[in-house]
Amino acid sequence: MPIISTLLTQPFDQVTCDTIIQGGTRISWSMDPRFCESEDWVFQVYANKNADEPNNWVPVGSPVTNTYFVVDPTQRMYGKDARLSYKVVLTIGDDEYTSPIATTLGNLTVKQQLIANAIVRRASLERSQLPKSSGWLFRRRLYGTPCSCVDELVGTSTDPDCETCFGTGKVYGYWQGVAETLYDLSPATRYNTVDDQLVQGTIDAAAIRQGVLIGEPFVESKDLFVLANSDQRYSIKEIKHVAEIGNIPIVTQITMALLPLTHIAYKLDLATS
Amino acid sequence: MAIIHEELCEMGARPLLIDGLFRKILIEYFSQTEEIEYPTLATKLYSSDVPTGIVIETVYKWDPKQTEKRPAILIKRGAWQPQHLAMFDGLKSVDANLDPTYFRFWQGEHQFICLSRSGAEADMLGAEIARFLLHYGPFIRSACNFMRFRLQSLSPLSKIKEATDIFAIAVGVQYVWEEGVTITEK
Repeated sequence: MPIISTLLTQPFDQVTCDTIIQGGTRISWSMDPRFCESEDWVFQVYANKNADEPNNWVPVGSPVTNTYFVVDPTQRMYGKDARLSYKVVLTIGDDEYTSPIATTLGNLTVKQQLIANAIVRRASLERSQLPKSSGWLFRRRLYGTPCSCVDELVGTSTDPDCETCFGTGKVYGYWQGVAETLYDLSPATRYNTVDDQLVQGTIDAAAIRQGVLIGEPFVESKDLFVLANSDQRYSIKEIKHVAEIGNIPIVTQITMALLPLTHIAYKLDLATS
Repeated sequence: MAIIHEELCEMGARPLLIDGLFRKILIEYFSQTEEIEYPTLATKLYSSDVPTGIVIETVYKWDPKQTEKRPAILIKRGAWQPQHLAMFDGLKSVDANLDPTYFRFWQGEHQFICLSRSGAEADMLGAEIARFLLHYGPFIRSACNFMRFRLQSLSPLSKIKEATDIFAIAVGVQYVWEEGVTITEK
């Protein structure tokens, strides 16, 4: 693993901003999946009011460890100026990695960003009368320290019930949960039966639901969504971008399947989320 | 095992009985750690209580408590085929009362479907069962009065969609036994 890491000069894959002018901008980042180092990943976010002007970087809050986003509660933009930018510095031991600069407009043009904001606002308003389900989103770790249950020869987890990696093969398994609202959650269906092909035994193939997420964070297949009230845990399967601009998803419809109650995901700790 | 052996002797092989025989054998093997070769599998011992470390059931059993519980070994019977012997419907002998005895062979197959959320674990489970059956095959053949008991195949890995991806491997065995019927005139 370290061999791959040393070849990478830029471990950050993408840094994006979900901007709220009056404070609450969320700066999130994703890492190159090939980047493997020890788990003490300390991130410090810096803000710059004037794009990438040298010596104008100020830290945003305190350093954070092993997470993938930070919320900047401070309003930093006034007037009609939108030149605020962010960067993330990752410190691992004595090594330091600096991310590319992310503007508060993300990777979109101004026009695209305005359209995106309008879509998000409209989607939220339209769905205000629809049932909302609060819960937590757990993003699966795609990189990090390989777990001890990973076979050295094939490089994959041999124990899907491992309590260290939760079957993902990466230590900790999932990133810390993020509180999220799921809109328009479809009613549950159930059909508990022996499978038609006589291969799987007792299954519940119909325990699939759909819901809508608005704005960030972006989700991926195999991420988990936990419904707050019932503690039912779902594996996200299909992701459909209902609205996107410039390849950035704005409204995302997800299809998710209820995990069996014996699944290791039920041992994920919600208390720290 | 004693009950199964007794029933086998009394009634001969029946599908339900052979399902139960294999289930019993696998349960015994996966109930203790001593002989399990893979350390990971040795942490998932069978228990008749919920939750069990590993599910060992017939493939047709509906058990909501074990819905999509993995890893699992599901026992599935394959085709049973009578092998007719020679001419005269397998007439083999006639006793002192001139009552004829007819013999035929039966050839049967069973599959042990190994299911896991990890391809590697499914592979391990398949290999564990295959090696167990290879090693204990002669004992099973002798205890069940089979004429032949052999490991037939270890299938390729396949993927099944459930709440998460599931990987499956089937371990196949074949066995042959002789069945004789004496027709007595009254």
